[in-house]
Amino acid sequence: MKKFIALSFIACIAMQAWACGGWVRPNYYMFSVFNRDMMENNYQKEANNFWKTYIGDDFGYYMLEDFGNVEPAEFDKSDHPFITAAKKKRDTEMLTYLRLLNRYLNDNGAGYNQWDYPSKEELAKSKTVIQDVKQKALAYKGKKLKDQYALLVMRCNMTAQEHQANVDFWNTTASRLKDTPYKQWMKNIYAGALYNTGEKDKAAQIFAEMGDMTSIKYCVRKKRNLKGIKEEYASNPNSPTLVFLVQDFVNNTQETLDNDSDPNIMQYVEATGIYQNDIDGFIDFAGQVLKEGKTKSPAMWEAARGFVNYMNNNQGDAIKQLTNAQNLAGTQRMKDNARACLLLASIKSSKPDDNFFNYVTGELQWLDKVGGITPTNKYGTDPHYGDVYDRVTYDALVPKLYTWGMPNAATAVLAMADAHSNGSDYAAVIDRVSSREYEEFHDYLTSGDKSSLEKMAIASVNLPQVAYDDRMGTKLLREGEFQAAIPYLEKVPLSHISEQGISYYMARKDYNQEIWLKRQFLSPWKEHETEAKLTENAKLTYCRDMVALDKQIASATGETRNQLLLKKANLLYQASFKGDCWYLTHYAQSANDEQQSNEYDFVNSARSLLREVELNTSDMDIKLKSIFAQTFVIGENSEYCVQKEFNYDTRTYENTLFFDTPHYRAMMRFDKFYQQSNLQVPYVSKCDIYKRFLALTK
Amino acid sequence: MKNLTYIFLAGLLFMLGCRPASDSVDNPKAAVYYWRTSLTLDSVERQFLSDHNVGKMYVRYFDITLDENQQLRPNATITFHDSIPSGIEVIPTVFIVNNCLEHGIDTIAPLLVKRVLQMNETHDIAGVKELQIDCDWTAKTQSAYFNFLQLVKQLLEEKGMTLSVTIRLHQLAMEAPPAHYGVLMMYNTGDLKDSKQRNPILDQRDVEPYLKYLSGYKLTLCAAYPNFSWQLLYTGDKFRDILYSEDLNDTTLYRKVGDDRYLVVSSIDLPNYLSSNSSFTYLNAGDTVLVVKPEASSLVKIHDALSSERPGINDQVIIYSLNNSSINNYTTSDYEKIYRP
Repeated sequence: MKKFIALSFIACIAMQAWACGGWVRPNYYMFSVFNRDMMENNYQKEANNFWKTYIGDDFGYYMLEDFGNVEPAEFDKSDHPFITAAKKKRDTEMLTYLRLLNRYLNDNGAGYNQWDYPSKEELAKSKTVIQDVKQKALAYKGKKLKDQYALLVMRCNMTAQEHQANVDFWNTTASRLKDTPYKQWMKNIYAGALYNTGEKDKAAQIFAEMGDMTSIKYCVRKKRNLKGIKEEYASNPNSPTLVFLVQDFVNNTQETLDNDSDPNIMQYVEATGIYQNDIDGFIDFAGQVLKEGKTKSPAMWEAARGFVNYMNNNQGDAIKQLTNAQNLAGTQRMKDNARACLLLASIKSSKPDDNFFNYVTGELQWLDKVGGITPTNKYGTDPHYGDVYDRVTYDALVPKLYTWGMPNAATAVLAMADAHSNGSDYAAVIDRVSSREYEEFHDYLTSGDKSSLEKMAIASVNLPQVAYDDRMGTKLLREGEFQAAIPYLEKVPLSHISEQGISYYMARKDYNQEIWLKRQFLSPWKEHETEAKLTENAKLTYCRDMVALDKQIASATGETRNQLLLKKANLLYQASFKGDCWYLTHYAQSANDEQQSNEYDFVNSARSLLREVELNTSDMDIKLKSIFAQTFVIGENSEYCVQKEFNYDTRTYENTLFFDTPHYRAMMRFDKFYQQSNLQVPYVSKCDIYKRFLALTK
Repeated sequence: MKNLTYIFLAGLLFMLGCRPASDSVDNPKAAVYYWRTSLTLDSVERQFLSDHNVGKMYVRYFDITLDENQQLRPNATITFHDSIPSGIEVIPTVFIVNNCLEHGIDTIAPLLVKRVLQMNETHDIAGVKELQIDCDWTAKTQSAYFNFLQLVKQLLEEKGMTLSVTIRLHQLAMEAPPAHYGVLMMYNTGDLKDSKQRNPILDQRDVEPYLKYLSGYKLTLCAAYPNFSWQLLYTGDKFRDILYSEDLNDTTLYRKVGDDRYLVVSSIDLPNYLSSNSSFTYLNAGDTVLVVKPEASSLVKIHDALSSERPGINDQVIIYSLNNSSINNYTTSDYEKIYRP
């Protein structure tokens, strides 16, 4: 699948257009002062990690769900690891807590979607159980499990929808507990209770403080615009909600100005025009906030207007403000954010000199460091910086290097970016470039002075000589330079081919088989099930065969020549992206494949030869085959005139004839010739497409 | 003479075979669907029930879906936070996702009936005489579905209850399911992906090809009509999503560019509150939001066309659905034209 995506990218890179093909790189947001990945409820995970410590290495998160499935009546007999561990440690305090927790989990209403719907008595009992669990949890006087019991109280209140009780419990008890993941969990429940008791702004502020993106988005859904930001600032210049709202505005501005809509669409132009007022308004407002001096986070406001200015093409203001933001007050994340945004903005107005390359190299290394990204942990501790790295490299740096006439450096940076994010753009470019460009890239890797950026990027390029020879030979073959390909392919050992995905096909598909008479279909799903046993490198044999065949054709005449041309047409078609032996010229195949710019036109060359044979031969069998083969080529490369169509009246699929197709005209021509020739040929009489055609036309 | 009697009887049998046993449902009343996950009725909804003398509420109790282990499970069970006004008969309704039909649906027939009965008992919903099953079955799943219905019908009859089913327009062209009557759904008739010209909720041009099946359809029918509107999100001509009660008057996000057309002026991601997982709908600047609802006159026209083809089908009309946000899409007079023309 990855290769399919990669192949669809080939043309995109060639044209410097990033939004074609079936896949578009995510529009990663650059502005991040509010860690959007904190929404994962880390406190719950951390709280649950308690059990990891308690029961040891055998812990699995599935055990948490399993624990809720232990029937309270079976609790004492249960061999659930939590219960077993508590028993083994003779931890009676823990056993009492677990028993209570188990009762809560069994009666918290989660069973509403089970087949056995609870009876009225069971529902009443459930309510009683929740109240009983709550009272027992409130009665706990110990210290060891104080946090867990407090959380249990709040969960009971939440289940019973006693939101005010939770607000009160937080204010009187839970807020005074020491800072633990349990307290974070309780705080989140408290914020929910505030929301449900009408204190929506207060709830939003807590969700914002906690980084609970899902909840905050819901709470402030009516304020996610400039007007909302102004209102929030007016009520409290240091409202935690502003951190979310400002980031949301900047990200949405990026989406608006940077989205992949066709700028020629009138509606898009109109929309951007309207939104421009808000963008200008935001830049002015951020300036006003900074001037007033009431905010404790000027770094955020300065970076926000700087990045909006960058997107708004005010490059001078953008660089100045993003630089300045790093020296203003704010959290470290706000300052890091300004630095990351500055990196992207700087590329826009940069020049290809050592200063720039040294700066970019240092900043890319810093992104890895601040994001906790290492060769063994590509996701890092904070994925945002990996996203910045992607956008800076793929979307800013690589296009810039192309515009500076540095395609080889761009390719090396792609290799580095791919290694960073498991991408496939480098592979796509390598697959697309011509043999000459590929040779230049190969030479570039080992020659001349390089900038610091190039040196860092080249370290990611893995190009052993054998891979180069194989790729170079294949490229020449693909370009129709069969003689030139031979010396490269001769150097490629069979073991190298056997390691590739194409070996499954190479070992099983014979390019000498006439494709118009018999197709060689194989299941791609069995690719990894069956071992490929190659006896020769078919690419090399193919090139030698083609060279020899051309020599034979050059000296042949009459029907012998026509026979040889028929053979060559088949060999050409087989090696095309449409042929059964596509593995000769490609490393992967997809239904979306098209003729590439650096590729010999195997399909049309085959078709021309077939036409030539048809016109020159006086042998009726050869003529018939050449017309039959042309009909095949036309059908395969446009659309077949007989297709299954769904009939809504009979609700079945039926063969339908499409008259206005090149294939229909080709079939008519073939049919006329065949009928008049009085020939009886098995490959024609067995052809199911011809049979269907006849059934619909006779 | 004897021969003439046989001919008469044969003719009578033929006619009975072509026409349903009755052209009108038993005890027809003005009715509504209630299709939310929690039952709470506000003053507007209660007023609607009262104004139109609604006598039946078809309440969605739960859905049947496949869980991650490919097991059939109840899902989105309704929670009862309110009582239904006295005098209104409740018809529990269960929606079955079509792909469930290929996973041993017949095995859950007793579980489903038992669950519905238990829900009635738990929540003191008295006088329930009927259960309705809603499913977008196809020719491929017809056999499994009909077997399942047969089982449910039998189980209900043992309890003195009856079974009704929903019928979508395309299902009119197929055999009638084994049930006591069907509700012909006169909504969601179009294709969302191609709604530039036609109203995807209800369009006469989508209905007309199916009218010919009405007179010969071998199941008693009543009809359900929509009162809801949709906010449809498009990028260019491509349909993207249905929005959930967006405030299209928020000028920082939308600009009105036509009668029912809004232009998105700022990109934003909207949490999908209807989804069980936290998914988002991404609106891009330049996208269009179309607000669609059938015109009242169109509803009346289709209502009358159905009556012409099959007198009695509108003896009982169900409005989909009872919801504060939809009620005001039509006037009281519009509703009465549909309920009591």
